Amino acid sequence: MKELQEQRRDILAIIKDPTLTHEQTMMALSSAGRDILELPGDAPRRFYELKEKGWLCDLNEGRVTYVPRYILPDYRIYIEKGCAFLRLDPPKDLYEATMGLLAIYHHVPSVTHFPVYIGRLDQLLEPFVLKEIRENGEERAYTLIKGFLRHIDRTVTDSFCHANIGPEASLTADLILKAERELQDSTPNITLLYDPDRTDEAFAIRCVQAALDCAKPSFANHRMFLSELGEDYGIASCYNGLPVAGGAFTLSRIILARVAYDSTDKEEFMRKNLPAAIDAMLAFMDEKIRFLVEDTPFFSTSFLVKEGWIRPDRFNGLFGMVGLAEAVNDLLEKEGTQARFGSDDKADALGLEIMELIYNRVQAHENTYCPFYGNRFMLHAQVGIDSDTGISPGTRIPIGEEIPLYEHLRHSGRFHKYFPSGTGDIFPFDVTAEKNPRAVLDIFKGALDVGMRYISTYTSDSDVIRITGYLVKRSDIEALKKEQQVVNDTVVLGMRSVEKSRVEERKVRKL
Amino acid sequence: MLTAPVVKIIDFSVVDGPGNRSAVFLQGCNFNCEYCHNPETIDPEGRPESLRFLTVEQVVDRVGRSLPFIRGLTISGGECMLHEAFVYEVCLEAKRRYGQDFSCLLDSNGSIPYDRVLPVIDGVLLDVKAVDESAHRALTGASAAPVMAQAAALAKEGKLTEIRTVVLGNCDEAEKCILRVTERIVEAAGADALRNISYRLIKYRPKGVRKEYLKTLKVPGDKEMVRLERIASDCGFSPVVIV
Repeated sequence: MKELQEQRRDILAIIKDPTLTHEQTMMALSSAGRDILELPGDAPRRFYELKEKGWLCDLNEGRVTYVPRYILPDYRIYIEKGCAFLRLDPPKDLYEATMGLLAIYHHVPSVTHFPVYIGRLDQLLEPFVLKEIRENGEERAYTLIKGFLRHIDRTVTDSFCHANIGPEASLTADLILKAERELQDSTPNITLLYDPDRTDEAFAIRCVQAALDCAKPSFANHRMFLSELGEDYGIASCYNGLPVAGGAFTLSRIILARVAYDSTDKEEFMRKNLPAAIDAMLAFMDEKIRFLVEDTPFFSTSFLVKEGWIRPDRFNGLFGMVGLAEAVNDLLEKEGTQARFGSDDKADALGLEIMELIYNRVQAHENTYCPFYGNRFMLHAQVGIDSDTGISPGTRIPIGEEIPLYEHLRHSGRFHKYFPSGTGDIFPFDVTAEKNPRAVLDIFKGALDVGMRYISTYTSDSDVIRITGYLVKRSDIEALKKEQQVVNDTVVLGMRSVEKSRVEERKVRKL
Repeated sequence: MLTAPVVKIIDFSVVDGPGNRSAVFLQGCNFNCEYCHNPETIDPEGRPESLRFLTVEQVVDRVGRSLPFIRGLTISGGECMLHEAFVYEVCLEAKRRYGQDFSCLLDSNGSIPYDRVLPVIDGVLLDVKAVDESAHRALTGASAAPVMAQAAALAKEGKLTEIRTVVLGNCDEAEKCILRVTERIVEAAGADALRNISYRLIKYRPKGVRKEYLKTLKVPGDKEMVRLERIASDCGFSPVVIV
């Protein structure tokens, strides 16, 4: 815990930072205030000991969580019943529906205070879009949809906000794609819940075209998510599969690379250090969730709970990990082997062995606050944060060591199965792909066939680019570098990641 | 055992027909186009360094390694129809192993009738290089007549997948190609057929072209390419792509 003087210095630095907007200053101050608190007990102490060593990380949640990290409200309730707390009647037309949703989004919290999930927009809005087109023409419907999306980008000033479309094609989804291509905004992030048997191919191709143009939507393996989470799931934040009307209480992560660096050999890593890190994190998550559910008023007072938009029994703890590649490479190097994760069978086998250990140990742990997932935590391939240097997201092959496309996709497919609460890979394409989006779709289909859960793309000349999971405008990064304020607070994360994680050096696939 | 001189096999290509495909390039061509950008593949007796004589099995094995990321294969050249029997066997075997939906296309110059291979292929990406007999002979060293006949025959069978024309500085010939081939397709298969045929307008680029032709061949302007794109679209081809 920091001394009072140090805390005051930190707070003054936030207030004096010229690159922060007023809203960003407020948010930073709220985190600084929260971080003065300590969660009592052995589990938090042990966790923060390992955090000091760099093994574990609380992902900016601090010691005390007073609101679930990710919330996926069931927005159908608004469409059907309205919202009593916000005095909103069920919407009668597209204007009311979009205005009402914007009002509700403002009141959906998360770890960043912004909504991380804004619903399956096509399903929510399709009846209103059809009515609008019938009564006032398509242009009017388009204007409303575009205005709605632009409003989200300018007020949800954080790129961890996610909309879902699909699996079926719809007029609404097409209007959304058209608007996004025109707007070139980073928010909201969008995912197509893709199932080749249910998603019309021409629509899927239009999604690819949009992705090559504005980096969204990403493609989620709908069948895979469906088999694990049921029909009522959504993709939130970066790429996190979670139950709708639920979400995630908390997410912590193990930095596997650092646990490996501190281990003398594979034996010590597998038998002692990794299990110790896992256990410390599990205990900390237990305590955090208990505090959130039992000691904070959120689940007893929030209108989201009272009006049935979310239910505590549909929340889960997310057990995150990063830096598998670096851990594997380090452990093999200590054995005198030069095998690299992604390029050598031996390294990949060790990667899978580590994943099995994590999976089994986390599966063996029971947390009764998580009945939706059998009282177990879900694994999460965390995408990294801006302070990570030389640590690859989740189980990704490091930038600069990418392997040929098909092999790379097959490699990803072997690791994605462990992560129902989210993982994904990014494959930027050369601009020639724009001439043949169907080819990109073929590759995506193949990717799902080999077990990939989630895949994203953009082209080498896009303004909106995917940093690790979230989107940022290149032009915003340039502005921030010149110490100008930018409205979206994720830009600063993007800028640091571009500098530290070589995002711009990601292998562009030439077709 | 049946073999063919394979110059190279690429695992993914987005320019050799619809979707993502594996492309197989065979040695030897019966045309000698001035703008050919890989002239080392023209001479049937030529042996570029990468050339290997491969069996049908070897080719089909290799192509299959790209599944499930490809929707089919395209056999190109040179002129693939100089190896008609090999082409037939490769397509037959590929469909036998990977299913009838695995699409087999030929990228071909239309000089040799496709009758024999037609049952095992899904379509042809047909080069239409020039319309006037003299222009065609000057550019390729061969007659234009069979090309138009093949265009009509393929369209009638529903197996004309794409027309491809390399556009040179003076775009008149390309424009004539679009109009004439449209006429022939409409005569043979009706105007509706055009909707399922793509047109690829390839901007001439000097890369790889033999030195002796570099001076006379000119690169067309972007505006001209767009004009041709509109003409092809107006004729009814879909989609029309400029590359």
